[in-house]
Amino acid sequence: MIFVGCQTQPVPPEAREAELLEDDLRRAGAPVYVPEGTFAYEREHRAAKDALIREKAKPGWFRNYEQVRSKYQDLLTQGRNVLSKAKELKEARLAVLAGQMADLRRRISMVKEVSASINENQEVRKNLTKAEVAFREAELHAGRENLTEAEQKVNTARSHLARSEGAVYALLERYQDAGQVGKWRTWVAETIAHSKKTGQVVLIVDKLARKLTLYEKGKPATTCDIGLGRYGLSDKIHSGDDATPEGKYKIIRKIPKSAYYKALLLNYPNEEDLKQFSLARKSGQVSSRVSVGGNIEIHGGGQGNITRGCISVENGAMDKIYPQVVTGTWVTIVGTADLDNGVMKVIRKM
Amino acid sequence: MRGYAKLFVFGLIVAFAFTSCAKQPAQELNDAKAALEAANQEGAAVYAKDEAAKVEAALTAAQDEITVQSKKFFKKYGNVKQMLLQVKTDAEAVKALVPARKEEAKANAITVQTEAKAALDEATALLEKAPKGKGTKADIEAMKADLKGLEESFPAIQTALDAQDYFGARDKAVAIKEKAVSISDQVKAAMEKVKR
Repeated sequence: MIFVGCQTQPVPPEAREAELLEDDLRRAGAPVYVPEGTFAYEREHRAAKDALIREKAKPGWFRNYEQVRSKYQDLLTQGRNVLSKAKELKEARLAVLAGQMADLRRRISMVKEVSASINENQEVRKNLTKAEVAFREAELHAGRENLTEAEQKVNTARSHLARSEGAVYALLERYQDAGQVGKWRTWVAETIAHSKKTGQVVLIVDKLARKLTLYEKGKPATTCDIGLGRYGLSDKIHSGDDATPEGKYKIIRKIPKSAYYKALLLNYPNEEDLKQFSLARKSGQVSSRVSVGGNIEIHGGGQGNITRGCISVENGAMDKIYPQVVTGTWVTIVGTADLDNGVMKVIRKM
Repeated sequence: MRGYAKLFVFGLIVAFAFTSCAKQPAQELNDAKAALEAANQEGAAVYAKDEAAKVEAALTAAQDEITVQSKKFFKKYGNVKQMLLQVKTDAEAVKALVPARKEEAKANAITVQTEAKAALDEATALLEKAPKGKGTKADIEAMKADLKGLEESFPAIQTALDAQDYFGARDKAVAIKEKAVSISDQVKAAMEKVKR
């Protein structure tokens, strides 16, 4: 009896639980998500430890851990609340990150889609690739729950993507100008009206849509995909600019055997082109050693080609077009006549 | 008189014995702290995170025990000394773990860097010999621009390696390698398209 009465009281198990809970808080990132709550827990934990130490310092038969136990129980309740809050906030941060990554993925995919329609896409694609690399790094960090690093990589990816999107906007600025598009639409309407009125075949080339349409009596009869110049979305000003001209042209020669299967030579430069060239030269935009250029054709060789300014089509498509056109057939080349085409829709979403 | 002298000497011996036993293990504590600090400086917080946390917890427990004993009338630091010696030994063991793990992480990053370089070289070679002008030129040009983006990203792997950010270097290398492989696959598909 005496022996039992003199036995030293065991340290309350809550003390160990509080230690483990502190580890759990650290692992759950509580110092980041609930800094004040974590600090309060650590402070109270220290106080509870001090109380425990004071009690342990007493001779065994004077020790009474009841108050200490009660302190620790309060501490555990406090700590569990902090842990739960930290987990909640971490989940919320993960959800925000997931949202940002989904948005980034969507934007990357849109720019990629648009860039496929643009030959002059070097800056777009280069920065897009850098954005994709940073995005993948963000995914790897997020997979390990390194959220801060993942967020940093998301920001890096965003900045590369912004450069890529900026390059797309710069390239397609003219295509979003209502006045310019209106002018192109008028050309198209006039050309179709001419076909309807005369019953003649006409060709309309939409550079942005990358389509050539053959109209018969004012109605579309054949449509095919096209390739353009390296800087095909720009209007041709001079030789060597690798741009595809915009304007109302005519076929001036049919070439049954050309370097690119069959070809239809256009009357570039027309009067408008010559005026534009002259203005560009006067303003110093074009060097005096450069000419206006020529030899713009619609030719075979494949729509995936990058030309020096010509319009290329698949040989099969050329076989369909070639017999239907004659010298003098109208060919109207526009940036775009369709503000609702796929590329413009994507641009508006970007 | 002689009896008092004996008692006095005995008292001195007892007092000495208590004093010597009651001395706080300051040296052991400093040694343990220094060992843990050295491990952390070596990079234990990154490369041996869990092990370092355990040692730190053991050090805290030892410090608590010192406080307990310091408040007691009969102070016994023998057990604490053992705890601190263990902390020192464990901290040294953690420190010893770090170089191998660092080397492993570095080797891993370098391996993936080499793989990424090989993947880039393969994609470049494929693009060089890819047939152009037969419906694939635009695709090939776009892929060349993609490759340019990868080439410009590649030096960042070495920058991360030089900064001893081996995990960061590995991630970047993985991302570049995957993209380079996907470009090679696209080139092969484009070449197939031409064959057909």
